[in-house]
Amino acid sequence: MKHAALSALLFLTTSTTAWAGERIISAGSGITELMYAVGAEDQIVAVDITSKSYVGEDVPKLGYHRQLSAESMIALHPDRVLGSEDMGPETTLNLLRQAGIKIDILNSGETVEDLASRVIQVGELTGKQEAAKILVDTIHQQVTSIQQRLTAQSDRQRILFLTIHGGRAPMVGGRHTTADTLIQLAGGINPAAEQIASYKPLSAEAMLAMQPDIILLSTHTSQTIGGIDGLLKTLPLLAATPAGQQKKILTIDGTALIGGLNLKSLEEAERLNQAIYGQ
Amino acid sequence: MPLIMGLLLFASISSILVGPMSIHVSDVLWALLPGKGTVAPHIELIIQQVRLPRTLLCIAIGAILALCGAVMQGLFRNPLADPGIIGVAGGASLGAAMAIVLFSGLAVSYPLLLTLGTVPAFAFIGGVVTTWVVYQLGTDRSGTSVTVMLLAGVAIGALSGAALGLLNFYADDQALRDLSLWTMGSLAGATWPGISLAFSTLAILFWLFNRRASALNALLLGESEAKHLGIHVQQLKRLLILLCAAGVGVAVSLSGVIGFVGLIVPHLGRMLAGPNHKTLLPLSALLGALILLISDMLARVAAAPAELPVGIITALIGAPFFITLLMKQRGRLQ
Repeated sequence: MKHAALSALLFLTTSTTAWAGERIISAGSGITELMYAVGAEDQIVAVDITSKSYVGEDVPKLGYHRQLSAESMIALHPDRVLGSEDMGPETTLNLLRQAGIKIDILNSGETVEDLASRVIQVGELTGKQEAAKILVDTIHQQVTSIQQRLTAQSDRQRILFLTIHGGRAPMVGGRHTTADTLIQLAGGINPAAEQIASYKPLSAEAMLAMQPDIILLSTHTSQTIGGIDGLLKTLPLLAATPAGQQKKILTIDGTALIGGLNLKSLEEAERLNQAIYGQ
Repeated sequence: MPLIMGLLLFASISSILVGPMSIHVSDVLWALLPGKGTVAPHIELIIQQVRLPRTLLCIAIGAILALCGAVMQGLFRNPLADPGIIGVAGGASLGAAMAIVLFSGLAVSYPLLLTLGTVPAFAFIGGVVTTWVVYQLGTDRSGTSVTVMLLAGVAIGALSGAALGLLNFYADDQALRDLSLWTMGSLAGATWPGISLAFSTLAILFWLFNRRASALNALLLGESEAKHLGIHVQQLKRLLILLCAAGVGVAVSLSGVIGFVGLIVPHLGRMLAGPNHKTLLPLSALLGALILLISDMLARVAAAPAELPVGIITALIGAPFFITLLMKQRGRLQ
């Protein structure tokens, strides 16, 4: 027993020294955020475009994580590339492997478990296991306290998340999306979750049938269309929903919705909960 | 012609020397010689597995697209014809989309295309099937009507657009993004088996097209005139359409949809050397290779360390160049 504990400890220390100080390319905002959160930001040598809000001007941006250039990446002499399943193209990844660069695919899932396991993985790959463990505990505490608060708030608001790109049908966040998790953590019900999965274009009529109490938009979308008035101009039918009648829209930071469920999502869920129910 | 060849050679060498990573010329030369580890392994990898394959693929794809464009314009006697006009690009996109959305988990074992993966295989099949449908629609007992084919191509194009839209609706976000990237075209996927396929396709097309250069010249006079000159117009059409579909199918399956080259290059060729297909075909092939090489070089370094889709570049440099030429040549075109 003691022996096992000792060897486990030894294993921990050796693996830590093995990983610490690697040069890492992070191709995914959900990963970059966590590298900062566990204090491994000094290992980052470049990021993809979705991570740009987390890093300074001086960190090279490799563009879109599905269209990475092998030569640019090899030129940065990374030891390791971390990315989501979307990372590509496959030919680039194969060339990186040939150049002796290690590639790790991390989840970009939308559940709390996905986030926790991503934190643990980032901790292991950067030699920051301790910080990762503390962060996971913090996340679980945060979620537990959110859940406890929700049991006290019995009145569930129906919240519909929309993203609107000029001229195209608005997309609605269904089940298996970060937006859906965020709505639930904020104490709302997502009326679209029963009918659709992922983000789908939805007619104004279908939205009307869902009778949302609150419309949730990203800050960027809200600014582009001009707040609640702009929204009602774009989708006049929404005026016949509780959200439209009471002019209730809420906005969230767009970074809370990319790269899977992330720390920002939890923060935003808490903030929304405050905004909806007050204290 | 010799000038264009010289330019092409120069562009090919530049394409191997230029990239996001600065590599000394002597290292590039050493890396091109196999074995004898005189340069760092990562440099060798970049030259042998990134820049050289990409340069070669550019030459082959550019030449194929331009050749097929020249043949289509000659065959349809329409300066706006390009390989996309018979629905091949739309069909290929649809095939690729189906592969991405519906079968991304399955491996297709089809010997020739095995090395290229599911998506390219479906792109190729989609392109050839669409062309066949368009051809059948335009053909009856009296022969093939190019006008009907053009219209059918437009209709089929719209239909594949609709089917794409439908796939978009049912696909999840990830598959969608793969799809949109694929339709922008890129030469980043250059692999040696792909290059062999591209060059064999180019060699076969080049040989078969050139043998029919005189027949294409005769067709410029009109179909009935060509028949009086003893040309089997119907046979010629069928063969050329099939070859173009195969050529564009291969090109699309290797590098996605790269527009513009097939439409513009034959015009440049005619402006430089007149409408005779005996010179136009080889010249188009050279020009197509040259333009795609330069475009890809820019795509690789313009936004480094990120990479631009090559289709954006072909349009950006090609269009103004083309308009300038048009202005100069107005008199001759009317």
